[in-house]
Amino acid sequence: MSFRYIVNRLFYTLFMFLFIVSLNFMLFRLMPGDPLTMVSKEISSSPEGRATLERMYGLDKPLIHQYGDYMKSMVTFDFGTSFHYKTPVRDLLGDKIANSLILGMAAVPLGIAIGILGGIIASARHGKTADMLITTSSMVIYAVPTFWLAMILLMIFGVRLGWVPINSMLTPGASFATKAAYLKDLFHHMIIPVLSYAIAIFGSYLLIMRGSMIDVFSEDYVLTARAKGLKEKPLIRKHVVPNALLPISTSVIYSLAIVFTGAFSIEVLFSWPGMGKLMVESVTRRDYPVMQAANYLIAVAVILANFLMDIVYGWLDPRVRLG
Amino acid sequence: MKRILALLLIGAMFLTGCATQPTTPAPTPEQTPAEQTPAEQTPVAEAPEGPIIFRYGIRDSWPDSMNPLLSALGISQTFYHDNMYETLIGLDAELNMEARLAESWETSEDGLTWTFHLRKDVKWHDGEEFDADDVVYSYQVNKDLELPRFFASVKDFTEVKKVDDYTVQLVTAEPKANIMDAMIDLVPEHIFSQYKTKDDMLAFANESPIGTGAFIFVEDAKDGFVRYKANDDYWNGRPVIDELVYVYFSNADTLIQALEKGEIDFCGVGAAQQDYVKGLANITMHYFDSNAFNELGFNCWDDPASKGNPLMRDVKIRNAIGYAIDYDKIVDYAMGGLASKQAQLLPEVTGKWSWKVPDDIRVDYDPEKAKQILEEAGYSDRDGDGIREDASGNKLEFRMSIIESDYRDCALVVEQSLKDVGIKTNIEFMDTGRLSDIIYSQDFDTDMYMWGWYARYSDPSYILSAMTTDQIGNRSDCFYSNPEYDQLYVQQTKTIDMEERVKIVHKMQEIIYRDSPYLILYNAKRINAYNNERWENFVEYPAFGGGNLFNYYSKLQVRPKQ
Amino acid sequence: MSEVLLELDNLKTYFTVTKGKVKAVDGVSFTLNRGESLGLVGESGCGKTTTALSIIKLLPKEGQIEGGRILFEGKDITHQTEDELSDFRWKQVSMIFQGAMNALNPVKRVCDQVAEPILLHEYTTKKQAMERVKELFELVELDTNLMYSYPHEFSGGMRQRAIIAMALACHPKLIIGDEPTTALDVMVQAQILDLINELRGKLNMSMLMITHDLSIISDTCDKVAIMYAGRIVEMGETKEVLSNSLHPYTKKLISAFPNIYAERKMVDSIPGDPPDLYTPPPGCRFAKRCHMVGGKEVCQVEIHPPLIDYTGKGHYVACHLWRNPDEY
Repeated sequence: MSFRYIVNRLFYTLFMFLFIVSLNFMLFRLMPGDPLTMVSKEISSSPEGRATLERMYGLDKPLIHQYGDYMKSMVTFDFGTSFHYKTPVRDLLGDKIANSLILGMAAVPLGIAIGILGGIIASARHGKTADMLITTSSMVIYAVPTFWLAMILLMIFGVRLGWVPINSMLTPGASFATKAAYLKDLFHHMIIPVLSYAIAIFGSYLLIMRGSMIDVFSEDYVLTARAKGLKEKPLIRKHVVPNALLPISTSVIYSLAIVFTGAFSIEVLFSWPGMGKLMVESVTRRDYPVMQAANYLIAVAVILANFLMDIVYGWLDPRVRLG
Repeated sequence: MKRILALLLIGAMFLTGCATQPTTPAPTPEQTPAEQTPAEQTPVAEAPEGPIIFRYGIRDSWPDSMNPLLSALGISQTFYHDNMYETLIGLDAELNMEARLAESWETSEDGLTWTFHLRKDVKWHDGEEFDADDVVYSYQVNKDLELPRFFASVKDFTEVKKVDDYTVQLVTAEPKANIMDAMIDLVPEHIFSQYKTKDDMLAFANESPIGTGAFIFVEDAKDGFVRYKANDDYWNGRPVIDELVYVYFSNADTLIQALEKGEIDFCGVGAAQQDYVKGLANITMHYFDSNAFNELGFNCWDDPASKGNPLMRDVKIRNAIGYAIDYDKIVDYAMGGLASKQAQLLPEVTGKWSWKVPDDIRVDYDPEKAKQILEEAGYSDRDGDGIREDASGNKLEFRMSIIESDYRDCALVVEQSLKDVGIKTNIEFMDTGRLSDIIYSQDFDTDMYMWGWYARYSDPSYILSAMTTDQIGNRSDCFYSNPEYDQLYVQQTKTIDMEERVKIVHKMQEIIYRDSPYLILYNAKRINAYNNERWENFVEYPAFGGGNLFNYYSKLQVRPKQ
Repeated sequence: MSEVLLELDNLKTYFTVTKGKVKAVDGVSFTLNRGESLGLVGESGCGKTTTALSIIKLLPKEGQIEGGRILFEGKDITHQTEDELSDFRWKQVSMIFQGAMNALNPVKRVCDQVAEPILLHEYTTKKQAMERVKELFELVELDTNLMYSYPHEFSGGMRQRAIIAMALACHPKLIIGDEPTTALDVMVQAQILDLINELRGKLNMSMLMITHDLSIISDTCDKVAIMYAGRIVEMGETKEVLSNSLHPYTKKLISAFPNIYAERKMVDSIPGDPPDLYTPPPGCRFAKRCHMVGGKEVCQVEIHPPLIDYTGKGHYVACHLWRNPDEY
């Protein structure tokens, strides 16, 4: 891969990025309702009070000025103060991203791994009972709504058996004497969310991988390899899987890259204080600073993902590497 | 391949298996009863092995600012301010004025000066003395800096005077009967006064709040929990519990599961979950009427700029609609039974302020009567399409803007009810932001909508003001305008004599009832639930069955079950 | 040398489908000596590829050898297990598949793929294996500098050479080529065929060449067997069979090939389709399309004519009416 190619991609992505964030700036402000109307009924608002709130939110500045601040924040990472939480967005995001990462970095690779392994196993026993069992159960589990699945798990392991706590990341209000105690508490809280999340996503990877594997099995070079005397397991490992992974690699990388943007449904279910929940709620509340920062993050994540995909795919498939 | 999978599975099971009970800081109340045997122990509970912690689970939005002067959300009062800050005067169980930080007060002859005598034994959580400087500062700063939460409450005071270290006077230009509306959270002058300019104050997050209340802030984790410890020196007596924790849940089902499991002690229960919670032996439910009502509002804006259907301004149509709606169906179907039908502006839980609708003018579900009213008013279905028109052929066809997440089922019932009497409704679903935009922007481009209000326990002025001409462009969402009503409103704010004032407030409610700028559909009922194996001694407040069980008094008195 | 390397004795390979069984190879017998090359000719679907796959035991899961024997160097390999076969494959017999363009794994380097069977079957180091790959590249006249390339960087002809190199990697005694030059253009085809001839001579390798193209057979094969509908209908030395064809099908095949020197005339085609191998017709399978039959019962009623060397000269034919060649 040439240097020029990479630089070329970089310029293109930078341009896209600027376009996207500018567009979003306008879209947010075009949305009906502004942050003030969200609270208009709650407080005994007077025109003066309202004006003060506007000032607090920085909405009294001319639009151009707001846009300038917005673009500046892309570089300085100073996204202002959240309208709702009244704390600096940067701190807020820092915590939430970390929380989403903890959840995601455990669950997503697990789900992907189960999916890919399952797909390989099912395809190797294509047509036999094992294949049918694996495929059917994957489809059923995938079709089941995430929240139902998670609630069942929570019901069994949390309430009936009492093995794990019901809610959130850590026991509220608890203080931990040692790092080990902290990790233990975190772990207890993590198990069901991570399992639910992984179970929710593995289905699609499994089915795609299985399909991909079956396609590759019918290729001539696999027949040739068999003719050369390769036994089944080394055949799968050396010839089938590397080729079958190609179509799925892009979605794997993408999923991993956007992990820190959080998983809304899981987070809401378990009150996991992560980015997914924050992003959705900030839209409902019209919390512009948070929305803008979250949007920036997503743009960065997707662009990063695309970039990585180009490079990793080129590494995996020599046919794609352009000069 | 298979081996790896097997290992993963075994690993997962093993790890789950070695999960023991979560180690929380020794909540002993549940263990104490088992250890006590009547023979050995006296009725007094033995010294607990750890602090007594009360956990309240909340499922709502996370609150906003910890600075009580900037906070704009009601939920912030529950989570934060009500626990730490106090006012000069409060309300007792009958909703009459009761001393708090002011131990006594009086009004001058002309009604223009309120004098408050402060308690002398109160300390801030950081040890500083509470005195008149704090009161004067608190009132003055909201006025000077035009701070969002309390400006409207204090703007009527022309002067805030410190008479001596423990006496403060508030002076008004006109007699102010709704002094309870001016009961603001008192903040420590020695901390807040550093923030002199508006921008300084707006940036002050108050992350380590200091108040005078029964609970002292310990820590909070955003979207997680808030923790308080009991104020040993609280002037009204130290709370029985040692720690108070509010835990945030984003999902209603997990909330109930946590309650069942004992991870939390108290929470609210939704209509969908009430049957499940009823079946739990260790949980007691408490139903109560709230001070919230929900209405069908009409666009009464009589201005050329209004984009509402002019027919909506015909009071006969509104009256007819009042008879057309199947209220019981709304309560049972849309609200799951968790509501009561009330139609006056001040809900019954506000006690004396609430007007009783006389039987002879009561409006109830009576579609025949509705049709009759419409016919007599000249609206009939001349072209046989099921929709009535007026003499010039204008159809009785109205737009209804509905916040989908809150009022969906209700709107459908209303739509059907109106259809049955020959009125066509075009529902448009949207979110709160959009509805706000429609109503509060320049042209009020809709005909009907559904929304809700909280009527304050403390004073009726707030909710009454929503119907004044004055509040069009601010609080009013139906844009109703009636000079007689406006006049009565001003009058009641000045009538210090309670009996007189109550009479006026009742008259105002009657006017609204007859004119129907709102059709109040129902008052929400709410449900509290608490763990009855651990806790007892909750206090109902207001006494006539109004509010949340975990209120000011309960916070002080609730104790572990003996 | 004329020791028998491969012998097929009445081989029957059937495919099990939902309807029943398809009799793809229904009684095929021939012998192949060391250093000899045999061409297997016929239309699509006549069973040539299935025969080849049966020999190397890479039938798809629907296919089973249901009768007859395959003997390699005198040993019966008809029902060997996978384990036993893994030694046999590539070391004794290697195969060049149809559409060999795709026989190379696109994500692996060519040298790795050529070296793979070497490393699999023989105790060598990677370095030694690469040396061998180099030799093989030279053998098939490929530039050794291209060893480390990926398949997509090779042209069609180059890929074919690489595949041949790969097939030769373990010095097999028999190489089976299933239409190895079909996808190539004529120039490259000629080169490849020359190469094959050369290599055979050098390495004294036997070859089974499967094709539908008679011109290739005449170029490269000592013997030829004509297959139709799962059976051999004529077999013998190439020259003999091509110039003195005895079976009506063979005659038609040859005349279907346009002759560049002869006068221009309409090419003779054989009307009709090959029979359905699920329920083959009784009697001679070619009877329906044979211009000789003309109502002769023997062809339609009796069992399929056996393959017999009537003249005693090693020229076999399976036809009831072969005796009067000029009548055809």
